Amino acid sequence: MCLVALFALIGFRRGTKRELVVLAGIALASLIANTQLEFLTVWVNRFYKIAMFVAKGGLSEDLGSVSLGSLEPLVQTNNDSTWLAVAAYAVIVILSYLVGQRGIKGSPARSERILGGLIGGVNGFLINRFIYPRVFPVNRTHVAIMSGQVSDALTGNSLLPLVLVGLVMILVVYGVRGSSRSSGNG
Amino acid sequence: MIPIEVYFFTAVFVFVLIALVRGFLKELGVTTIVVVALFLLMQFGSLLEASINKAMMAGVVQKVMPASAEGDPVQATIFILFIIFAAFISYHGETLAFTGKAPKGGEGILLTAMIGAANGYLIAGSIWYYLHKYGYPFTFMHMKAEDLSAVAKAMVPYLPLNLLGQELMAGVVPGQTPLLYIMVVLILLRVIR
Repeated sequence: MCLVALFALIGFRRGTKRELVVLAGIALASLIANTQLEFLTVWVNRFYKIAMFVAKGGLSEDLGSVSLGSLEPLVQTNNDSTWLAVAAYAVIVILSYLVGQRGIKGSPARSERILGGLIGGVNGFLINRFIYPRVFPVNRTHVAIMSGQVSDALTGNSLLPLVLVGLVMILVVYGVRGSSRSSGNG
Repeated sequence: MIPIEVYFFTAVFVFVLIALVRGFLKELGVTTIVVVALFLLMQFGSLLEASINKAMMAGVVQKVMPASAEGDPVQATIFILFIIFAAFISYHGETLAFTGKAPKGGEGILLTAMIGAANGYLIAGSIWYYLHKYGYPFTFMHMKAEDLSAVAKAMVPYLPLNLLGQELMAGVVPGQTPLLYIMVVLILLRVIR
């Protein structure tokens, strides 16, 4: 929950528009990490083998002394796949933070900061929801925190719909505020 | 038989198209009225249900609509008609449309589509909620609760009055539901411009 608060603070600083870009990045990252993992695994392993082939001398040695087939793939086990999913997710989300930061200029107004904080909190919840159960699976955690309950809160189906409802309301407020400004608060 | 979730998503899609034609601010007016209507149903639905039952026991309603062996068509009809009436009023009225200039560009389209989908979810989802609650009583629909697909069964707990009518702080502060907060926020947004 501290992480969610941290993301909310980041969102407060950055403003609504930048956080909306991150939200889109999170949606894309979730889609890719959940549905394209096999595709990613194949290509990561291919590039890894190519890199290892070159690192071990590659074509500079006698042909046949280094065999691509003998190189172990980087991603082999379910645990490896999980970490690949987390890495892919993290890369896309970080890129979306950077794109928002560089692409949207100017300092946000006070109302934009408040909405940005709320959307940032939602982003933090969604990021934690993806990463936490993968990094801290319940049956492997031995730290004396209520990881089971935290994991249930993040991954269970009860909280996510309410968070999405909250997100819709935040976007409604954002849209209404935008229409107020464009009409000169008429 | 077409699964009920197909009807639901088709209805939501139609509402999105209607929203794209009408615009974000008018659709917010619809959302406000529909949310208020659902809140009234949530608060006074049990009272209405008891009144209808009394009227049925007095034999008044049977003269208009005979009882069905399966489900309760009278209750379902009255609640669904209320929702349809609220939707009709909201789409015809101009008073509660939010004022101002709608957001433009891609942002405006996305916001409008989102609010149209939300209206579709509220209206179509509430109709489905009452159909499910009263056992799909209309024989022309050829539907039964036990024949629902896995997707439909998974969706039922997330229908509007199930999802938005749940108590947030049960046992601590009664009556705190998401629907209440959404209604308050929308009314405040309408009033404070």
